[in-house]
Amino acid sequence: MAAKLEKIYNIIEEKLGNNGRLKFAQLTKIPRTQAVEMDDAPEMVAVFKRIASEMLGKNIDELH
Amino acid sequence: MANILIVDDDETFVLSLVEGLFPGKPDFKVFSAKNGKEAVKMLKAKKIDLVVTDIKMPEMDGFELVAFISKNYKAISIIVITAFGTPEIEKNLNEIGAFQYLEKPLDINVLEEKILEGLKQLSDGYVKGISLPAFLQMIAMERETCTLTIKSNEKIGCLYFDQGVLIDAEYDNQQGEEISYDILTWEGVEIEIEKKCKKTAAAIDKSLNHLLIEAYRRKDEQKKRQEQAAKSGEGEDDLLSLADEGIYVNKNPKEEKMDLKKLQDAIKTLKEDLGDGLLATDIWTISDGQALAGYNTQPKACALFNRMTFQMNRSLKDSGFPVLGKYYMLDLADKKRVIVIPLSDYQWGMLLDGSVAMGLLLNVALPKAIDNFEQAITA
Repeated sequence: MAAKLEKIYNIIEEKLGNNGRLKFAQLTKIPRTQAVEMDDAPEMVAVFKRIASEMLGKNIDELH
Repeated sequence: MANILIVDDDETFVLSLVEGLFPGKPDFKVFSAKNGKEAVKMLKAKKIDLVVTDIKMPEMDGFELVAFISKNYKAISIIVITAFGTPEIEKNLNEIGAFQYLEKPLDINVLEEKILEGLKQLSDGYVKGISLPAFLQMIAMERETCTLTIKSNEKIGCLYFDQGVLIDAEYDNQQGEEISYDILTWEGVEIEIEKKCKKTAAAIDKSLNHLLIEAYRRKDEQKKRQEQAAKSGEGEDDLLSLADEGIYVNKNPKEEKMDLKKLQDAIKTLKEDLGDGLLATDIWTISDGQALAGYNTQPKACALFNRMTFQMNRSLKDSGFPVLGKYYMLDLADKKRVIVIPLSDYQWGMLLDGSVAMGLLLNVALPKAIDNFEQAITA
């Protein structure tokens, strides 16, 4: 269960809506349904955080 | 017989052209107007074949006139005269080949050649239209501050210029550099120009030339990928297997990474969830309003709701309201409902009858549909 990846998806969806969520899925190439079933691998979390921060225009860690 | 309209506020210059162009050739009639406003009156009163216009003029300038012609007289050839040209800009504009461009001071023989070229294209049956890149180059060159509303088919986007610098672009609730690459390659455009920049913050930090080159590079690549996809015809058997169920899929979608089989499965699942309550459904791309996949597909509805979504978002935003969220729903007079879900570069529309329970729709069918669509675009 990837709690961190799911949380990042939640933040994206909350801040940017469906449009943001779909764009995020396109950029990470990992749909939400798959992300929540994965392990929170550090390298994957780092990729998610980087892409999310770029989309949000601010460091996602500040939003946790 | 060809009617040519010269538009410039410099009366001496205009007189020299009216008297000096095509002397002794009764097949050419040359008219004049001292600004865009007069030119519009002339265009409404006479059948003009070609317009030669200056940029800097009082009341209604050359940009506003070109925009007016783009909207109302698409077949008229235009020659723009400017005092601020450079060889590089001239090369760019000529490559784009939309409207001709000449620098002051003018060589009247060169202008005659350009006019004949422009008229020949008309007689060849080629509708000139207005090239957006050429128009934008002129905006940059003249350091204009303005907001351009660009219409192409069913699409409407905005470009924001501050002193000739493109600072932002907007289309269907998306903004910035990425969406500018889409708008910059639109063809057959109508242009509206408002002489103020409605944005204050710059979301784009690249030059217009860079953006244009990158936009056309992307367009070329996309075209090549489409051609390759059309040749390969991969997965066609799987797709055809669902045709009997009334599920439509565009076999040549613009997005090469879209998994068409999963897209069809998403439609099929929605159909199963909603049963006979689902009357029609389509997934379309916001860039052109064309359906990618659907059931009992409705092309006109795709174009209509694509435009409505854009207009609603724009009106909400301009009025200081938040933009659309996860979906919007319309209750139609014949007890039917339309629900539209914005999905990044796509939208998903559904026509439902009154029997569909809202709980089932909002809590089961829609979340599942979004999950399934997401899997199709990340495949």
